[in-house]
Amino acid sequence: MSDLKKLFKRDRFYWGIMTVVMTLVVVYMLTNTAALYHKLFHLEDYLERSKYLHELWDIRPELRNIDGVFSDALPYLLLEHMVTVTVIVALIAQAVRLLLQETQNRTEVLRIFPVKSCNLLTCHYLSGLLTVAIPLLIQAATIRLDILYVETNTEFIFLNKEQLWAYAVKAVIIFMLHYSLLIVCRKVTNHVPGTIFTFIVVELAMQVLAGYGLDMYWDNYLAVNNIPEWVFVAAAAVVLIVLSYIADHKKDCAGNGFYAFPIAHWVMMGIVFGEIYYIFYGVYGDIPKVLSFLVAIVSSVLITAGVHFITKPKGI
Amino acid sequence: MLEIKNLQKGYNHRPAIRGIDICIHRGEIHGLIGSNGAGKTTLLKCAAGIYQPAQGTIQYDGKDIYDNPEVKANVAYVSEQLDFIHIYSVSGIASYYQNFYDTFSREKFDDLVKRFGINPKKNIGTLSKGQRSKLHFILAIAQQPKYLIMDEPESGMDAEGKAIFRDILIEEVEREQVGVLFSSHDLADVERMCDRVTMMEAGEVFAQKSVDEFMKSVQKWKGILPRKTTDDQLFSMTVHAASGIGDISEFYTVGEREESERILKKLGIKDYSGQQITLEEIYTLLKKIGRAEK
Repeated sequence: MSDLKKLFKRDRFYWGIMTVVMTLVVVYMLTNTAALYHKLFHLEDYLERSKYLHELWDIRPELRNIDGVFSDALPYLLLEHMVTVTVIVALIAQAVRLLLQETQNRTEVLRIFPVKSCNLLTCHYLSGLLTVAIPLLIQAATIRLDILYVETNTEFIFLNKEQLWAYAVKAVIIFMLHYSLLIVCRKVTNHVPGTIFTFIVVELAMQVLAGYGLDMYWDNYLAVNNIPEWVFVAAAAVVLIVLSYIADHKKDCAGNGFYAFPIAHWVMMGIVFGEIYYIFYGVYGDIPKVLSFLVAIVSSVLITAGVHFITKPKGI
Repeated sequence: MLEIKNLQKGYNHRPAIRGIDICIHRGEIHGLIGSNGAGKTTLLKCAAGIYQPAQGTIQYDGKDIYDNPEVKANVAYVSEQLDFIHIYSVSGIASYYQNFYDTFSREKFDDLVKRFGINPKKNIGTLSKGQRSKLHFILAIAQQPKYLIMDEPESGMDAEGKAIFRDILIEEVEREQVGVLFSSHDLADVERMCDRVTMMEAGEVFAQKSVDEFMKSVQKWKGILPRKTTDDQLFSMTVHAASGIGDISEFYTVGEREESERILKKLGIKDYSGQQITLEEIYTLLKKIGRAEK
């Protein structure tokens, strides 16, 4: 506990900035919500924009017809907007903080201080959790109050409160999944380029898996009866957190970690090659298959070569 | 006591140091010298608890240092790579350290900052390399440690700064009985300040003695070598690095003075006289002999 107190005191400058930023984000969201429901701007304009947004991102193709869409599109839009802004701001802040504290030299500097290594890790997790969870919960509570006002004063029925809280909790779980993956990658690779590329490789693999029906991400996830998949994602985050503590205990900050093993390096390059090929093959739907194949191969070779030269251990 | 036993450490499966044994008592200053890439920084980082030894142990008063906050609280490390977070001021970084070390003395810090002539309000990013070296040393001393591990602490310091550094270090060792292990390329300073010295090359220790013992173990001479003397003859009689045969030459012998004089007489060397030798010459010679023997 005393280690965590010292580490949080060390980061008080960061916490101060985050408090100000998150307060501004919450105020911004409340202002938008209040402005909408108090009709400070024209409702049809907002619906037009929501239709455009959905068409652009292809989130809910069935909602392109504006008539009767108000009760479905708007709440989701608000919540997605709320969660996305909060998570993006939190992720950027955490990335900056980690970059300042976890480059090769700074990691070594941190190891000088009389703090247990696992407590440094716990501080990272708590910092990430608090930075996202608290704003989300505050926003869920404040939006709930706003919804109550609308429901009291109009005939309009908003989302039920279970969906609102479920969405906020799901956002926290998803954030912890990505965040713990980033930390595991950092612990096993020991340098920033290796961390980033390993993270991207695993993220792409998860996206591919999601494409094969696991529905790990945002879609179809608001209903509380999707608990099994929700629990799966939470369990995956917990496994990654445990792995990060094991990696932290077993491995110090010397050398290139995972990428120091030539076999591991070449396996990772093979996976990168395969993923880039999968992404780029067929990306231009209206070109001949041979050209599509060439685009995929050239992209895969170039990107894999770039990753290889940045992450290769000495001796290769 | 700091005890390093059979220490081995490498990077990416390549060994950087092998079989290192060093013992440092409190109140002792131990110098570490070696060429670039000899493994000094790796050794010091292991001693500071930054790296985990691949093999061997590093113990302070019987306790391992790696990931042990209780031991680290009594060990200060001065790094060659002075990586502070640049948004802090000199005064701000002191608060940063004070947060982590219960023994950190703000009064001592302020006094040392004044002594070195650094502006406490200045931002770290605006300090020169030499000023950052001084700041790093000040932070370490202000921690009031029992052991001080330093990697080229005088790097970039001006002559005045070096003099102040030496004075402060010796004061701390005498008053607080701090045990010091430091590396330096300034062998004159090492000779002046250290009680014992470890010489490293290619990850291994090739010589380890007190400074007095080193001075007694190698002799420097000036004399006239007979014209027919061969290099092999000289080497076999532990006479080294002779410059010029037949003229007045400078040469070295490995061994005690009396034994060396017997060898010189045996070789027929005339009109010889003993010369003042430096630690730098001893290091260069011993390193050369080590390479020749390999």
